[in-house]
Amino acid sequence: MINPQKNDPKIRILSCTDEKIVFTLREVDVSVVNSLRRILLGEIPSMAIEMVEIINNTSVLPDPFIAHRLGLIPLTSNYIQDFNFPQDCNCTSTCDNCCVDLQLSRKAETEQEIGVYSADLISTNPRVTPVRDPETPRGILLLKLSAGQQISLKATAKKGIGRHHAKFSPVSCAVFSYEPDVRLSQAIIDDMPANEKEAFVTSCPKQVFSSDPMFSVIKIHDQDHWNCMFCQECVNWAEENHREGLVIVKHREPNNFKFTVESTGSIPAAMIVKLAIQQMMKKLDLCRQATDNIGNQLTVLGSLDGEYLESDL
Amino acid sequence: MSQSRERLFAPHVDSFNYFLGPGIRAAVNNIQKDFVVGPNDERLTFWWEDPMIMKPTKSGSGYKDNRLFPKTCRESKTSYTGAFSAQLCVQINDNEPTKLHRRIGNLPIMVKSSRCQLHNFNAKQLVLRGEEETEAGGYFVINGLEKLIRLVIAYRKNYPMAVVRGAYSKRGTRYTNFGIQMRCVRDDQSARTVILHYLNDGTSMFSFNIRRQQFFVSVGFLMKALVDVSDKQIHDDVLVGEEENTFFVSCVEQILLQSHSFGCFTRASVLAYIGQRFRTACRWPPWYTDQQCGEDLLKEFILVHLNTNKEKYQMLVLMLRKLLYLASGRLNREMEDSPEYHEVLLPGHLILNIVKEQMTLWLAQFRKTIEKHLSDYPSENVTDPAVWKKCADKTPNPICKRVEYLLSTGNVVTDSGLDLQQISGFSIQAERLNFLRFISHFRSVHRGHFFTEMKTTEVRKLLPQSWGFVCPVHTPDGSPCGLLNHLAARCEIVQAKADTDLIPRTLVGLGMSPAAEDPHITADSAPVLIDGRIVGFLPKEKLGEVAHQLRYLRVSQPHIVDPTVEIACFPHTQHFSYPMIFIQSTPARYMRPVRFRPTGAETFIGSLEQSSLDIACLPADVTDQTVFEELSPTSMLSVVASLTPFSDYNQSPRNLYQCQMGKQTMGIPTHALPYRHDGKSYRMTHPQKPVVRCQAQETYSMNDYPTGTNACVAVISYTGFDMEDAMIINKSAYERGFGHACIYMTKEISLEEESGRKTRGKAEYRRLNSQFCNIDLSGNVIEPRLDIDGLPKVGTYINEGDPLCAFLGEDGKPHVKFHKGQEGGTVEAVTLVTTHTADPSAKPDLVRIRLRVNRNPVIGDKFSSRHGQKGVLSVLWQQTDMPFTESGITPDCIINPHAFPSRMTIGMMIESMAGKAGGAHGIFQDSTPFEFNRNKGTPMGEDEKTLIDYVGEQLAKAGFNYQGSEPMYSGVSGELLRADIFFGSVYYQRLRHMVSDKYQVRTTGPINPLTHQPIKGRKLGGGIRLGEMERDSLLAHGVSFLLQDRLMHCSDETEAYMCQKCGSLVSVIANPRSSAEQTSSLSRSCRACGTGEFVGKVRVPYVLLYLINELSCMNLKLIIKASSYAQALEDD
Repeated sequence: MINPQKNDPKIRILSCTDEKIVFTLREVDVSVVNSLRRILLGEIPSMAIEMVEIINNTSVLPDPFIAHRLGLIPLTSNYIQDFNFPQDCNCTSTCDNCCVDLQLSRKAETEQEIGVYSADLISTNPRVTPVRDPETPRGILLLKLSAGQQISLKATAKKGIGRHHAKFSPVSCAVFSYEPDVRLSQAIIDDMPANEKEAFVTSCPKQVFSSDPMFSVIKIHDQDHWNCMFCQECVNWAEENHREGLVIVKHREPNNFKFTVESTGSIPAAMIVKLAIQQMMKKLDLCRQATDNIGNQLTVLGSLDGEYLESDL
Repeated sequence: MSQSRERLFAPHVDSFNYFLGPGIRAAVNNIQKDFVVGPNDERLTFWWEDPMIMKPTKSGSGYKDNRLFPKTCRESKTSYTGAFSAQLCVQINDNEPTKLHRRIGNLPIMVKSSRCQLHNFNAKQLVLRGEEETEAGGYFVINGLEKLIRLVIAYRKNYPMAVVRGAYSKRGTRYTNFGIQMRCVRDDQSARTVILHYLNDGTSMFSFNIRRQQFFVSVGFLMKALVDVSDKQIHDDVLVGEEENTFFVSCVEQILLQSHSFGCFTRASVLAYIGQRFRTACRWPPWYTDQQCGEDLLKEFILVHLNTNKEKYQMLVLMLRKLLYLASGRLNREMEDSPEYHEVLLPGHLILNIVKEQMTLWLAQFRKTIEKHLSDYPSENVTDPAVWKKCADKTPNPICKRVEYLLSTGNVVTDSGLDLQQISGFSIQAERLNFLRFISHFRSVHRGHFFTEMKTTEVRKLLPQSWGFVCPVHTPDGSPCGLLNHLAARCEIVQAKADTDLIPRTLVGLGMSPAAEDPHITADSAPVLIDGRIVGFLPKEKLGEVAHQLRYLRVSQPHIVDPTVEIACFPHTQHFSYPMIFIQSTPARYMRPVRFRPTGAETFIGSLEQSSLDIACLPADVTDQTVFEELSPTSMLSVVASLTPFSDYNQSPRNLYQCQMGKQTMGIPTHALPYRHDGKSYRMTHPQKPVVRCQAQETYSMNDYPTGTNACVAVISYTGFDMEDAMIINKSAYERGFGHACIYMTKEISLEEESGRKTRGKAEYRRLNSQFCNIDLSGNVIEPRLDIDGLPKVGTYINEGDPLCAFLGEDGKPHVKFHKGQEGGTVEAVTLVTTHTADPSAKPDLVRIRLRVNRNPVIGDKFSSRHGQKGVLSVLWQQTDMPFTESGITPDCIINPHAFPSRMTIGMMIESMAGKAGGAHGIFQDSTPFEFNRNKGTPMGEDEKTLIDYVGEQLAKAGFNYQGSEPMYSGVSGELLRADIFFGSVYYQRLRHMVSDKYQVRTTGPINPLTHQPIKGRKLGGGIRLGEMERDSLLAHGVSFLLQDRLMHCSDETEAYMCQKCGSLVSVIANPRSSAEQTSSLSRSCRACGTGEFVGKVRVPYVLLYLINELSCMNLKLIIKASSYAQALEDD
């Protein structure tokens, strides 16, 4: 349940690039965070190739295989809001408002084997092109053509959401974790010899604990506790070595979350999060409208048969 | 291609090469000459010489390149055969023989053998010819199908095996269970098995076969037939060292006494006696004297591996001594089921035997033809070349047909039995379902058809003697378990007879007294045998030392003792065995490499040799005395079994299941898919190399033919859809390509078959008039959905009922063939073939349309890990609803934890951890069984890490939990799950069993015309039987309406008329319709009662009517008492 007293969410962005955004959400219920995650994965629209018309394919790969690979190529979708979902569009079949055509035509003219990359796809709309980054200017390898082989096709990209097909999902990763609350018992630590301390520090696979070279003090550095993944290795170590109570790992109360969103490149990560929140608001609006409606109808009912309502409620 | 992978096919290819070369020459030389004697006593002798087998060529002329390649044969459904010819030599009296070159026929040629057009082709040339880049051959192409001859177990050549067999005592009165069996094999691989039986009265009978008929000769008598020997000599030879043994003495006395009872006392008289008795059985020419016949019998049937009678006599003495030891209980029986006494029957040797027999029979047939000709035309002279040439042409010539028949049906047609244990089941189709299955066909060894029906399980047992030769894991479960085995990966089959000429001299140097020089044999002497021939005698205590010396020479002086020579030593210290050294150089034996510690070199040992050797398996087993050491503990595994990762951590049956399932996975079956026309082939579109792989994966380049994908697997009970071995697949993973696959189906339309003519295989051939065409004779398009040539366009999608091709028939009428079968597919390729290459103007008469059918995973499809853990896809689950780890990974598939406790596939858990660590660190993990810590001094030292610790540390280094588990969040609520989830990367295979091939539905459909009940069979649109037990359970639930619905309404409910008065269903007939009656329904009356008053309509099962009809045919009347109605009648 959402606790009304503690429902005062605060967001703090830890890092943000086009590809990846990391932020913390404080004082917010897990249901809200999870809804955000689910929307990120499944309901943010982006453009992806939906239809492929193969004109000529003399490569070794069968047509559906190539079509499937094309579908998974991320296309830049910064202006996704300007496009209509195909089912909502006013046009009869395809139009510029819901579709983008792309073309691919390559032939291995020489004896040399050539690679066909996603950058070879030529889009009719400069706003929707295969994603490229400076490190891989040619994009994703689609197939290879050996001497004399040829591929030529027309593809149509449409707007869709990840719940319908994974290729529409603009995120490659959307995940949150609870803020851990790792507490050490200084009394027990003081009691431990240096070799035991070392063993305890190394028991954590995520290096949450740090220590000086002599292993006199064990500390948890500023943000290091975020590394903890609740694997309980340290607690198990303490139990096995009869140091019960040495460490306690819990969720921080009230709940704080660290949220990570990685983009496929089709939409900048920060924008995806914004879109997700918009989408969530839209959904809540719908929810509120619905509850308002039902409430209104109930009032009507109450005015008709107030006695019944009163006794029953 | 990897050399080691090619070696796997060697037993097949090399043995066929032997057949093509020395084998066929030796066989033809050994064929007996045949004679015809003319009326004027002129003698016509004939025999074969100079056999020649050519590389396959196209029939017909006018080709620039007339080489025939296997691809062409696969395409045109013909056989890959090469011309076989030989010289027929005919000699008149003692004149110079005339040689007549005769073409015998077309002999199937093994792909990649020395007479194959692909012989010595490199990868590029192979690809150019539409073959696999790494084609290794080993199979034949028969009518377009790839067939191979399976390896079948035979008894070891020339070894006198002490056998106790219940069946022996049934051979006659006084016969006992004891016998010495010996499979004698000539140089040309033709075999004759003989048995020396022990009889209750102390005598012994020698048995041999002539044309599958068994004959017995008293052993003493046989000895006298072999050599001129006195009774005293036999007595002394047999009783060496046992002169005081009363059992031995009395036995020998009995044997000698028995040999006297025939009244023959000289060798000549004995031979004449035997020759006369066997004259009819052996069909000798009439001019042979009895003595000649006797000599011939000894040569042809008695201990045929030996050349001189003296050697045969010595062997017989040895056999008799061994038999007496066995009968007196001083010698243990030798286990016939143990690989020690086994070798394999190789394809080349089998074909050689068949060809030899058929060529012999041809000569006999030729003789008969001449004889018939002479009796028909007495005026003609047999010495006239025209006469016998005509006769040669008239003689039927089935030699090559028999080989082709063997390959296509697996049956051997034989007159003599060829000393085979079975006459059917020799050939199998080399399916290319995936590469593991393909390779397994060539490595499988069958125990023999006879044993499949045996009630006892003795033969199926896994024996320690099979270590390293036969894989203990790779055998099917179920009826062929233990009978169909597979060779260990490093086990080889000896291919050529090694040269042993220098060994006797070496042995003499080591203290042997040679047998040829009448050695002084004492109680202390033990025989030394080379290929079943006694070469000399050694003092018993020197046996072990001499054997070691020979083994040393085998490594250091291969020109003296060939590396393929097996040196089996039965030292006198070994109780209950007959002390001797048995040296064998013959082909078809099992051999495997081990390390010879004195020199450190690899050496081959045989299966008989192995059982008296001390071989260290692990470094920890090595002592100062250890001479032999295993190369690796995995030497015992077959190729398929050695691919199972960490199989040493699994419960053993699971590894067995994996060997089965590995052969059923979809993967990359072959790289030559565009050039092949298999009826059905399976292809996975996104296969991967396994992250966790065994060394064998690299050794045999298995990554060329991957069979699965690395999947992130979480072991949780989540959603309930993973109950009972079901697995949940992440819908997004599926959409990104997980498990995607397709199958290729080839549809064939042969105009030859369509025209009702099957000229294939027959000599006469008439050109077809029919042709593929989409325009009929009046110029109209036959089928608009097809291309102008009457064939579908590549890339079109063909549904059920869509046209496949159009053609004009023999009568010029247009025909269209439609696609049957429930599934549609895309036309991937259309191949037009002209099958008759001999006719240059023939038009294409065969079309093969390859359809590609999409087979992406659907609910109910089967998957498995490499640990015998199979499961079916139960649901595609949204990624948002899947549990996720702290780092944001959602599993590709979820399996239930209950899959582990009872199955104990710890190897799978380790694979999961190792795969995860391998993925995190970017390394391939070695999962070879028994490998981890192997080279440490002790198997598991105190300070040494276990495998789990090793992987655990890798995981911890990558920031994962040491045990491979991870905290996970519920995808539905976002809350942390209470338990840590075991999560890692496992290589998953997709099995070929798919719902699309198996689902069966029916509302109404075809019925059986006799009973009107629904027919069975998925293909025919039939139903699934609701049987007795199903009926019982429905009864128990009391759902009578459901039962009636199933058994009546949905089955054979029918309307019938019954006369309630007599209760008969058969006596009601319809009255003839009078013209006045206009009503639609006929009136009916009962013929028995003569009235239609009581006729009523009833609904009964149709089978009931059928039953009543059948009963009435037997004069049985069945009355149905419609009692309530009868009551009503009475009341009226």
